[in-house]
Formats: sequence, C-alpha cells, structure tokens
Amino acid sequence: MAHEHQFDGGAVEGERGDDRDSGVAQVTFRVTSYVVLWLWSVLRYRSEADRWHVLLACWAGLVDTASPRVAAHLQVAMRFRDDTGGQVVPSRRPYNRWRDQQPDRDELPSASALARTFGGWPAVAEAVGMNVAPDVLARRVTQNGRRLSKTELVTVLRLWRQSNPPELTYRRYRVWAQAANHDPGRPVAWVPVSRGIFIQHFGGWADALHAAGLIDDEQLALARADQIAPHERKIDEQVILTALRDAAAAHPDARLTAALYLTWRNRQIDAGGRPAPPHLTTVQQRMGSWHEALLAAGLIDEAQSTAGLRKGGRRVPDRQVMRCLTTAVRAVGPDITRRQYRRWRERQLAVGVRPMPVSDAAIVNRFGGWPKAVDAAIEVLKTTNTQSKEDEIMASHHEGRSRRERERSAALERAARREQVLDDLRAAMETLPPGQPLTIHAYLRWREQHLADRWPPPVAVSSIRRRFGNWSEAVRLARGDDDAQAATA
Amino acid sequence: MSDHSPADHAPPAAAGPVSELARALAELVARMPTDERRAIARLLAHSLAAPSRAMLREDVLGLLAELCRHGEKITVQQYEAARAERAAHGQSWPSHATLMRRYGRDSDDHGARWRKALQAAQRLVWLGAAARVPASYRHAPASAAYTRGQVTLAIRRFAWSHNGVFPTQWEYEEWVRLQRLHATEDPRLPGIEQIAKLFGSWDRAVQVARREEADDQARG
Repeated sequence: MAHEHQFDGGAVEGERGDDRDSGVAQVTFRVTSYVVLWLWSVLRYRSEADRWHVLLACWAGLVDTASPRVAAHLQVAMRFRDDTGGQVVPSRRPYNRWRDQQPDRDELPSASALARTFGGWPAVAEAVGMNVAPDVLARRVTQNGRRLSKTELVTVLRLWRQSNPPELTYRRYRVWAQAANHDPGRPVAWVPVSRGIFIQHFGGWADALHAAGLIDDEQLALARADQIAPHERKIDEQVILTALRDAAAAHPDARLTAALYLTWRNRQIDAGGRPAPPHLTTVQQRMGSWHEALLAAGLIDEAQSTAGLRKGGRRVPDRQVMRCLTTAVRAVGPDITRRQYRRWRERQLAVGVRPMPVSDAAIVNRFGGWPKAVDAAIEVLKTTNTQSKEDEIMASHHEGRSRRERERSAALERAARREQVLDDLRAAMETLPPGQPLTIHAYLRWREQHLADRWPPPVAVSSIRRRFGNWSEAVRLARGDDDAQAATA
Repeated sequence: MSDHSPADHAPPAAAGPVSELARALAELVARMPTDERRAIARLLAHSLAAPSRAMLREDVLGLLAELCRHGEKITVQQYEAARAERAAHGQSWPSHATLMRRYGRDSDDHGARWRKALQAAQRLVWLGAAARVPASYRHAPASAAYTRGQVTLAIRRFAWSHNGVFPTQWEYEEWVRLQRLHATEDPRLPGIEQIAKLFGSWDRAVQVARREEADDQARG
C-alpha cells in the first residue's frame, strides 16, 4: 500500500487528505513498496487472464468484514453469486429477481441497502470476486507526489548534514539519499535523489547548500568557480604538454602523430585514467596546431616544424601543384574544368602515378579559384623557361604581393584572356566569306581544324558564352564595335 | 473475514490460459503484507475495469486489422468466415454489424458503413498510432455550452464518488472517459479544455469547486 507522510517529521498523515490552500488535489509524499511497483510493471501489460489470476490472489481475505453489517451483506451477496452459478454479475434487477424467489426474502437486504453498503453495484460485484470497478485514484499508488518546495529541500539537506558526510558533494548526497529511500526507518518519507530538483529551485548544488546554511558565502563563491561547465573550462597548457609527453613516452619507437595520440588517449580512458587526457581538438585549439603543440612539448625541433610541417598537415610544394596542373592541361586541354581534372586525376591514381596528383580542392585553395589556376597553368605552358615561370607565378600567388596587387594582376590576366578569345573569334571570321555571320557551328568547325596548330588552343564555345554572356555579344565585340568595346572595358 | 473467499470463483472475463509467471506471482502476492496486496489489487482492478483506448480499439478492430494487413479489401463474407474460424479457437470478435455501427453513420448505406470500418482498420495497419483510430466514431454529440456551475458540479461529483477526494487533471480525465464509456446518454461532464476555457486553468476550477463544497457543507 502506498504510505503517505508529511514531510516535516515523517508522521503518517493518513489515507488521503486535501490540500485546501493550493486548490490542487493533494498528492502528498508517498513511498510505495518497491515490490508493488515491480509487480505492477510486470503485470500491467500481461493478458487479462493473468491479471485476473493475480488479482484474485490479492483479494483473498481483503474484504473488510469488521462491520457486522458488511459481513452480513457479503454473505447475502455470496449466496446470490453461488445460486446464479457465478454467471450473473450482481446488479439491481437480477438481485431483486433472485431475492423475490428466496424463502427468507424479508430477511434479505434490499437492493438499495446492499449497494449502499459496498458503495454501488460495481463494488458489490468486486466484493464477491465477479467484477472489478474502476478506481481512477489507483494510479496514485505509483506516483511520486507533488513537486518538492524549497523549504522541504532545505530540510532534506539539513538532515543529510546530520549524518556527517565526509564532504558536501552531490555524489555523497546521492549515496545517502538512495540508502535513505531504501531504509524502512528513514527519518523522512521520501528523499529526492536527482540533482535536477536542486538546480531547478536554487540554480545549483552549491546554491542549495548555501540556502540550507551548510556553506558560507566564501565557500559558495569558491564552489561557483568550480562549477564551470566542462566545455567552458580552460585546460592548462601544462596539462596538454604533459599529456603529449606521456603519449610520446608510451611510443618511444615512433614519431607521435595525431592518430597515435588519440589511440593512446582512448586507451587511457578505457583503463580508467582520470582526468582524461585532453582531446586532439583541444590540443590543436589551445596550441594553435598539432605541430606547434609538439614543438612546445619539445617533441620536435624548430627545423622539423618549419620544414613543411605546418598547420593543416604536410603541404604539397607549389612546384608540384603547378606541374600537376600543367600536365592535366596538356592532357585534357586549356578549357579543362574542375570535373574533368577530377576524372583525369582518378585515372592517374588508378594507374599508380607517383607523385600522386594533388586534389582539385588543393589547387583551388592554392590559387583562390579554378579559372585562376587554369590561367596560371596556361601562362606557364606558353613560356619556354617553364621552371622559372612556375616559380614566378607561384611566387606571385604566395609571396610578398598585397591583395590589391594580386587583384590587379588577376584583372590583367582576365583582360589578356579576353583579348585572346576575341582574337580567336576574329580569326574564325576571317575564314568566312564577307558578310556571312559567324555562327557557333562555323566556329566549332574552325576550332576543330586549328586545335593542333594554334597555341593556346582556341577556346570552347561554353567559355566564350561564360565570358561574354552570350554568343551574339561576343561576335559583336569581335567585329570591332568600338562603342561596345569601350563600354565593356 | 468471510468464509466465502472471492478467490473461489473464476473471474467471468478471464479468457485464455493463465501463464506460469502469473501463477508464480499469485503465490508471491499471497504472502505479501495486506497493505501491499491492497495496493497491487487496486492497480490490477482498475486496469481490468478501465481498459485503455487502445485495448478497446483492439477488441473491436483487431481481427479486421489482421485480415487487411496487406491492404486487402475484405468483404463482409470474408470477415464473418474469419470470425467463425476464430470462434472455433475460443476467440470472440465483434460481428460485422457491430463494426458498421461503430464506424459508420446512420445515414450511410450498408456498403459505405463497411467501407468506413475497413478504412479505419487499414489506417490503423498502415499508420499505426499516428492514425489515432478510435474504438468507435460515435463520439458524444455536440451539446450546449457548459456553465461554470456545471463544471464545478462535475468536479464535485467526482469528489462525492471518491470519498471527498478532489481529482488531479489526469484522474478527472480518466473518470470522465469511463463515465462516457458506460453512459447511455450524455452525462454532461465537461472535458479539460472546456474547463480551462471557463476558468483559465484546471487548478483554479478545483479551487472554486472546493470552496463551493465547503460552503454547502457549512450551510448544512
């Protein structure tokens, strides 16, 4: 049965009471036996036959026959049940019919009296084990009760303090609360275990302790400082460096890589190492990069750090990037698109070309865009001294140039490229009879004939359209429309 | 204590075999203290006396949902054949007329009423709980708006039938559901929404009902 208690001393309040002040139906603290809760959890979704079977076992001897009236009326109800073979559920009409047939009719209670004794016909049926009556209050047995107030929580904390815990931590409190709830002689009826309820009421565990008078203002301030969430907590650099050194010491034969560090860290955590070593992301964020962290920990020297081992991993040399791109331009053509480059690279990787071609993303990152990269590669291919041109172009991309200079250079490159396209169009027009417009079809035919003998090769129609917006505009400009040219310039 | 034990009689509704687990638990509860037995008996009795909406729906629509699980269009004849077959195995399912009455309208013709029952079963099969298929489409008809007095009276009626205990919102809802389930005519019990519309909140309505009850008792 559910026991209901007042909080302030654990006195039994009674079966039920009403909370007159709040207006809400009173649900006081109650502690239902764990056996009952377990039985209910097992039985609640079992078949009707199973539930009936256990219910009848529960009912055995439960009918309260302390009152002679109840005992007498129960006897009558049992007689009715037995005479009808247990097939007729007790109710007013069947009972009256049965009663009229009895020789001692006048000594039997009336239907109303019988129903009144048990609180209604469903209750009569229930009393004789033939039916059950709904009891919407039954679920109160499984309820924990209303929300605890601040005062009650403070009382609980003070009671906990009386047990002289070695430290006033929530972990210690939880152990005490769980034990208290299982103890039949507990000082209070129900002890909250969750920390959430203290946080809801007081804002934090330390604040709850402070409200209960268990810690003073100074201790509260200190505790608040310790209550920084893990993601906000700043890990000391020394902790990071120590962890790196420990990881390196665990692998004396290998250079400490990020993957190796993570493996070591996971092993430490699995082995119960507390606090856990900082995560790789934390190391990188706090120290700038993995290699800077290694340098700070003294695991690599300055030379190793600067010789290509920079943030983001090993950097592919510029010259290699340019060679890769120029090879692709030669193989695919000057109009190579990013997708074409990707396919070309996949083919190279499939046949095992070394060094491996760099990814298109790496090229874009290095040049700031795919068209820029292709233009740079074409420029390199135009020159005879490829080596120096490569260096010069790459240097222009990476060294010493201000952003404005780079933008100006790019604008000039774009203009040069534009002139080249117009030259191609003009060359194609010259092959046509006078007065005949240059159609796309005618240009394509001309381009096909001159792909091999012109360098750079004539641009594709799609490039022309992209550059000038549409074909007619490109042809108009190529024809020498000065106004239009000036406007465009 | 009576010499007639309620446990002497098998329950009228106990259909099907009792599992070994239930037998073992019955032996266990027989040795439990009276208070604990009373608590578990209350819970079990309520679960048996107040079947959930899902239980009620399954009792009505279960067989049809089984038959049309692949989207078949089950005819009345097919349903009745399956029902007779199940009856031979001791299962009791409602007749097609019951299904048509529960899911069809009086104005519908025979075919339309059966189609509605079939659609309800198919929605239950394909959409599951999201379909919110009830045990019957025969909901309470629209009735006159409730007054404040009717609301407080309903809450007080609960208290009268439960030894003066005023309900929580959930308890009131469950009680109203059961009252409507067994009523032959509209019991004039407002739902939670209607109460909230009149009083702003459930708690406020209970407060007023409590005061009215106290005033009436003071007046004698």
